[in-house]
Amino acid sequence: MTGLRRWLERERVFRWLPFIPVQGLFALLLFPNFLLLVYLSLLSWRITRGTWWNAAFTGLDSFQRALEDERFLWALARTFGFAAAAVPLELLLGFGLALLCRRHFRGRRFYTTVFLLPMMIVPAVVGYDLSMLLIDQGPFNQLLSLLAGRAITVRWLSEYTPAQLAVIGADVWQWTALTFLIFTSGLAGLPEDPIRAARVMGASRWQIFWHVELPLLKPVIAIAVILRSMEALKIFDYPMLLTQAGPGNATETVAVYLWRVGWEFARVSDAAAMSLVLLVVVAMYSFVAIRVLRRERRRLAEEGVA
Amino acid sequence: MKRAFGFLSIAGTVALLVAGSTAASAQTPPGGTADARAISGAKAYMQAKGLTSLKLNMMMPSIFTAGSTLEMTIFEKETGIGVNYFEVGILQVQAKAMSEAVAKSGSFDFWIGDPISLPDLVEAGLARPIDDLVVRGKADLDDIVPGFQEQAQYKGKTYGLVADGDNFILAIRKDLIEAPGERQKFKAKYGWEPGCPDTYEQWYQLAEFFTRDPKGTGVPELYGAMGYRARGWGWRWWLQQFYAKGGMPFDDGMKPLVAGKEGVEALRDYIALTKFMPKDILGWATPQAYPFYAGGNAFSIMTYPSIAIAAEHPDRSKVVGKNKYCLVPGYVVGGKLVRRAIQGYGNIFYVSNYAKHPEAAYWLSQYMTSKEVSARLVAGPNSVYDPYRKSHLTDPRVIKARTKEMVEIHLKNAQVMAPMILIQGAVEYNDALDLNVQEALLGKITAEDALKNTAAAWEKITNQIGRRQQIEGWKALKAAYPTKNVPD
Repeated sequence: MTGLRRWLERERVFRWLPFIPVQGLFALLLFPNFLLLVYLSLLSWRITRGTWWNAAFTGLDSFQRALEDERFLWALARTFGFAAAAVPLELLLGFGLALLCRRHFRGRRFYTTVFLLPMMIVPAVVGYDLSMLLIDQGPFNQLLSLLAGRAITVRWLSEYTPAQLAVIGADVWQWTALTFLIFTSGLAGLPEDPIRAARVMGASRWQIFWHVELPLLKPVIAIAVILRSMEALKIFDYPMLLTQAGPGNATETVAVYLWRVGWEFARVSDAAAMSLVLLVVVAMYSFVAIRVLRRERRRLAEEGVA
Repeated sequence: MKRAFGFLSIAGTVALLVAGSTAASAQTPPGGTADARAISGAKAYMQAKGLTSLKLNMMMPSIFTAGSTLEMTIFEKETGIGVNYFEVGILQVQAKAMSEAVAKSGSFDFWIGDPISLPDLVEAGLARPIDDLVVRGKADLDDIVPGFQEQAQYKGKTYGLVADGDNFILAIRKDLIEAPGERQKFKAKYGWEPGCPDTYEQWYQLAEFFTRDPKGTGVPELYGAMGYRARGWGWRWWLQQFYAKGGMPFDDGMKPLVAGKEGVEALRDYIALTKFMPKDILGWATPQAYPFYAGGNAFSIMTYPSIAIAAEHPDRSKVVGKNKYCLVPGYVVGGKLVRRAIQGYGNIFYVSNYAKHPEAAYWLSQYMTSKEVSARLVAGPNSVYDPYRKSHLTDPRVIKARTKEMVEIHLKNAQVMAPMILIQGAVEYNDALDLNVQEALLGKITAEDALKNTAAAWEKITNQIGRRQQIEGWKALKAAYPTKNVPD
């Protein structure tokens, strides 16, 4: 008994104890599904062709089909494109709003709540509402016309580039709230000493921000980038609700295409192989991002500010 | 020995009782009409199960909710069988049904769906054959216009009861073609009296003439034509034109024929007509198109017959009594006019193989699709159920809601009704077509390339599913194509 207690009290063991329930849940819920996914990807199973446990084993055929499927590869590229456009915008806007709300002013709490609201709305509702707002003679174009002083009739839902912008815009509108939240807590948690020291040494407000605060915020920025990028790569609701992933395939993201292949076309093995390809790509991206995050943390620890 | 005998006698009694109750429930329920028999059948079912109330689970395309719930409430009052429905977008029914085919959870007992997904859902094991119940309940199939109920059949079995006659119709503005001066001007320009167009070329001329943009803003006050061009929808409108050109999607060996002359010409015409439509038409389906036409913003619309409900609605429409309903236009092929009206959706009540109460779900389906109740549904103010019975033609409620002309023309169009591609993998075939047709419409690729891409994608799909099997499916479907060129 004392041996077990001693073992449990060892720092390395104790540190991991709180994670056991979460990891256990992960192992129980996700790991079997993941194994099944891998297994399905090695079969040639369609939902319309009997049960999966009787399906023929065809090795890597589904992967070959996935990598030869131009529509899948374009959907993958398009999704990364959307993420590359949306995430920096969300970071910039979220950061800007967090800086604004950092100051003490009347109504600060109210604005903070307002900025966080979009995040609370179900993405499907956002997509549906925007599909009404963005029709060519709808409220959004009317507002633009009012601001521009001339008739604006952008076809947000029926032309290639505007439809893509609409999808990116929807993502930015909803998820800037999350980056705002991350940066607000990041800014609140900045250590006072280095900032005070810089001020004593006569640094300007801008110098303090650029040379002290921003470097200190790098881990927070990295977290925001990782979280938002991973989410943006799963974008599904907006393209489906705004345009049925059209016009043409202008807004067909990889999540939409996977859904179509699996549930509309009943090609489950192909969808499994495609989702594993996507998993590898996202894992590679996350690996690089986490390395950057760790490096920044290590650097700050060495500098004694974190 | 004594205990064994006792057990056997109890088992024997139970078996006799079960056999007796099965024999009783296998009889046709009493009632002079299909809806009365459905109510009696449902009551008998409740009694046999010892239930006083029951809620069936249903997957409902959201567009059908408003038009369906009243009748479902009446059925519940009569039988104790109510419905818990969950709504899905009409284009998402297939995916939801497929996921249930895998999960086998019994999360819904029945659903309203299109015939496109039927072959896949039968092969996936979700759709339940209902021939036994149709015979028992003596469902009203006798006066259904030929071509509709057949779409609920697959490999010789019945999998659903048709509830919606969705072959397209063309509506044009009668008041505008009869306006003083307009007739003469039109005739002087095009050489024929304006009216229902016989050909797509004539429809184009009407659309061109009646597109009104007096200020030259590029946003006309009146658009000449409307049809669906959005993703998930537009392919149906092209397919109708392709059929009227004399085109068939496949040859007997399942080699795609869409990329031929007929397909390319039909696609060029389809694209050309789009310039007289609202600019946002590539994003529109029924919820946008109907109010737009009913608001008096367009001269003509090719769409589902429920347009009449929107256009003749006394409170919501600005064009009540101003519409003329037309036979679908066609093309002159080999010196003869060929009209084709595609059955562009055609919803059906299906019962799930994993239903907890399949029989109860069937009785409700029979009730909803009976002569009497279907007439009430078709005439309802929020209905998207369209006429599909001969009896609808003479039903005063239907005529009041839709006009006599509309119902007559609609059922005449049904004589040249052509099916969508209803074979295994139909959703994938149609999606490939839809994507390429829209890319051509957007000017991203030429009409030729769009159809070549479609043909290539179709070949891939056929090979993946299995050519021999697909040939069988196609052979069966070919029998559903019309033989008449024009309606009587």
